Amino acid sequence: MKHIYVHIPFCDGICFYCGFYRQTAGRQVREAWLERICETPVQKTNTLYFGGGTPSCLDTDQLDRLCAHFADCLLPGYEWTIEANPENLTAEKIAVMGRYGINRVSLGVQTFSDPLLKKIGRRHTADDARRAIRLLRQSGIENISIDLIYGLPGQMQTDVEQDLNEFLQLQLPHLSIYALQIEPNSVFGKQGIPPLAEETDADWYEMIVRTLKAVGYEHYEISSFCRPGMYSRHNLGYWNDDDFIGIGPGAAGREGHQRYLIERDLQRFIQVGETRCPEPTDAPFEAIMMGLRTMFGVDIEKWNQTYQNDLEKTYQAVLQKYMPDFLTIENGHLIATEAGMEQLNSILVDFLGTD
Amino acid sequence: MDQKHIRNFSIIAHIDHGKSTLADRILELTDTVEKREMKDQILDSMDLERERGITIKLNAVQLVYHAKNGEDYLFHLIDTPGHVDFSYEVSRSLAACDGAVLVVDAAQGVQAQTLANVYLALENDLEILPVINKIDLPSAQPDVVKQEIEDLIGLDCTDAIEISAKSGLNVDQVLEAIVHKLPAPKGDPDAPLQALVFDSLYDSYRGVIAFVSVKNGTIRPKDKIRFMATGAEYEVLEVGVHTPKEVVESKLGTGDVGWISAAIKNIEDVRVGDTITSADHPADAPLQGYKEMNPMVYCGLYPVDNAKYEDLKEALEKLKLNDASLQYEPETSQALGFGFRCGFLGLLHMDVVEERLEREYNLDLIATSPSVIYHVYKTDGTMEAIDNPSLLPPQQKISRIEEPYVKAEIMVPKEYVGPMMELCQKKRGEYKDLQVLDDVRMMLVYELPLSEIIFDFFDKMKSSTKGYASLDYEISGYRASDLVKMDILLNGQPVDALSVIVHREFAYHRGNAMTRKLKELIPKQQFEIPVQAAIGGKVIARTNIKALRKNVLAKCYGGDISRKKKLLEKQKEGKKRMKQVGSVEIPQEAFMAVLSMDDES
Repeated sequence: MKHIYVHIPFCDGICFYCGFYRQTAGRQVREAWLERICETPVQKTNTLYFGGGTPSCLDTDQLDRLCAHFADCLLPGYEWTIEANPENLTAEKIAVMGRYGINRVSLGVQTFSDPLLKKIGRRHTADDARRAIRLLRQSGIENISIDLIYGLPGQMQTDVEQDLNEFLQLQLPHLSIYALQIEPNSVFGKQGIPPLAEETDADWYEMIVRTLKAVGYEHYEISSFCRPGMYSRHNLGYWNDDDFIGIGPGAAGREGHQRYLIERDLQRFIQVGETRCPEPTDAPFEAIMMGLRTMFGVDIEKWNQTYQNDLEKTYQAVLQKYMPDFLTIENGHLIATEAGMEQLNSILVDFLGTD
Repeated sequence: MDQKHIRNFSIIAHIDHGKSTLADRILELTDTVEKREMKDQILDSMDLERERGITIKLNAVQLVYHAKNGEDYLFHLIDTPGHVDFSYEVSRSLAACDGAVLVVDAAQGVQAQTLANVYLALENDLEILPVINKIDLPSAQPDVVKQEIEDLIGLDCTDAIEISAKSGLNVDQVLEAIVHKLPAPKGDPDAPLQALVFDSLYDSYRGVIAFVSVKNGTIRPKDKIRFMATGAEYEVLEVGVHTPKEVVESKLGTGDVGWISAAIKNIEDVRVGDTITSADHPADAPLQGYKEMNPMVYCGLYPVDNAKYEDLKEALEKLKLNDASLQYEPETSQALGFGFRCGFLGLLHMDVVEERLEREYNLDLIATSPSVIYHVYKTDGTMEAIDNPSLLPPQQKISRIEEPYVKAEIMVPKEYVGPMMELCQKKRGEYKDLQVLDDVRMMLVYELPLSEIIFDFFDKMKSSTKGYASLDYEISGYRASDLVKMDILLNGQPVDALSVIVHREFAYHRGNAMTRKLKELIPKQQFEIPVQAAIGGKVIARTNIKALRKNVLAKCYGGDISRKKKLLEKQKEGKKRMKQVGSVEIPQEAFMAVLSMDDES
């Protein structure tokens, strides 16, 4: 499976929880960036992902040119996702997406509570989100995922339940629901907002998993839920130890098991094009770290083959410590149980300790 | 130089009253050290000393002073350690002198440490030269302080010199006063050799170097010498002085202060306070004042990583080469594996050794709570000295336990006498005396169990007197107490390294405080961990560390991998400093929990 990730580093405003590489650049910079991106050679791919930033904050014309550059690289049966925000996802932009064949949209809803949206620096209302979903469906894009966050400052359990209800009523095929992470370089991080207490986090997380599984959603990754089979195939690539190509400042990629970052310098990018900066990569461990996030786990035979090692032997002590409550082996896959997923960091620290 | 032109002296002061700064100025004014070579406070050569502002290792420097009368004088400035743990060492380096410069801070006045050191100096018949330092401080009250010195110490302060060691103001007068007011060494150059050992240093090429003050006779290379207390005999290879650079001399005569190298392999042979004499023409008797120093505080030291046992052993061997008062022997703990039971002169000594092991030898250590030596009298009539609580015999075999007591002299402003007495009472103290020192201060004398002093007495004293009290103590003897061993159980298993000996009346409170503190220090794990305190199998306090429920990064896509790995590596680093005991991971601090817990609430 081949994957391409394109990073659109622009936003119209900065959300208080966000620590991503993004900026609120003006039209000129966006144009210059787009020109460079459209010079990037692209290979054939199974999945293509426009992430950000806020890809939908490009204007209709810019979006058109961006899509045009990538439209030819898609292999049959492709998945092409774009991230969008409710406030700038217009009918015109949706029409452009449809025309080029974008077949999946990930919508940044975060919460359906207007007061909370305001508190976290979002520039849209719950109604904007509902309207955006309606427009997408009207144009024939049914494969919609929304992002929700729980643990926002001031959020109560009833707010979280309300958000879940709304998601269920919308009958969407995919949900990514994240516990709020306080990023050091975010507004919240700078304000010193404390993270959600562990007990509350666990209570709410378990409530969310319980609720969604009860109505037939698959809990296929720690923060990802979907109708049976409606996985984000692009994201599964990350968790499944696939290589992926990153394009544009702020993107990450991996080629031949070596990860890299595209240098986060918009000016330099505009002047000379992108620079790949290699990242220290420990592929065998990363395969486990990422693989255990999903319900499919780590394919032991594939791992042994790829890394010329013996997973069960190398990590014998860790497996012994965590099986069967937190880790299991099913059909040749090492899988984290629900309890295991919930404290995956603690388990991974022991995997780190073994080498 | 002839004996009349020699002056051997120390500077004595309370911590932070400016001893090291004055020493620096003296070195500068005598051109012993060029200004540009001056590192601040040059005598404190170890990093740790510099950081803590205390002197651990003694040093002696020889300098030449060109006095105003046109004559040159040979000064030996002998440095003294500045903490109650090292009072014997202080007394021996004072014994190496004939006089002392007493430095008192013009703002803070006389402190307990000042008094303690002055008493040591008087015991050694030293002439004392009072100097008032920091007179350039806005809060300086030199006249008040002089009066205080006269009242408390009985020294005439009419001619006390007012200086600022920091700026150098009037330091020249101090040098003149050393010439005219402090005596020259009195010894007899023709008498048999008597040289006082006041310090030693291990040199990996030359073995143990002894620092000596020659009281009578002369010492030369090739002389056969005998250490009178240990009986060890050696042939002298080299003698010399420090200026502060090392200089080799042809001899050390009466009144000289310098070093001797004699290919001495074993530091045990070179005891501070011992007398070196000639093996062929020995003196009749050693110099007075030699005492064998015994550790008062013990704790277990274990490597976090069991594989580092040999490294710890080597590090202790090396430290021991320079530190005769450090004792250690191997011990094993069920919880911690192989380690060493180490004996120290006091808590500070313990801290310093621990820190040096971690810093200079790069070891991750677990130190168990410090313990005193208990005398356990058993029903079969024998006595066992116990320095490790987990080794206390079963209760039915004990007829009584005795613990060391100290005589504590606490100098405290009047308004804090109440709270201070309350604290001493609480710490099982027995009131002895209360003396009025001056208009504002009193001297409180208590007999206290040493175990209470090492527990948290210093911190409590500081907080109940806003830091104005100062304490000096010495062992006064052993007394029977109603003591019991309190065990700590984690997940139902007793952890031997966490056992403590406590007074029966305090057991319930300490048990509660200890379990609460452990709950705070031990991170949540995959299962619930009961924390219990028990006496003889009976649980007296209990709490639970709840099971960890959630520890996972919500978002992890292609761009998050590096960051996430860093986070995990950080968690792993934290874990490395923990000890796995049974199924429970315990952080290092937990083994010292007893010291940091608050047993008030």
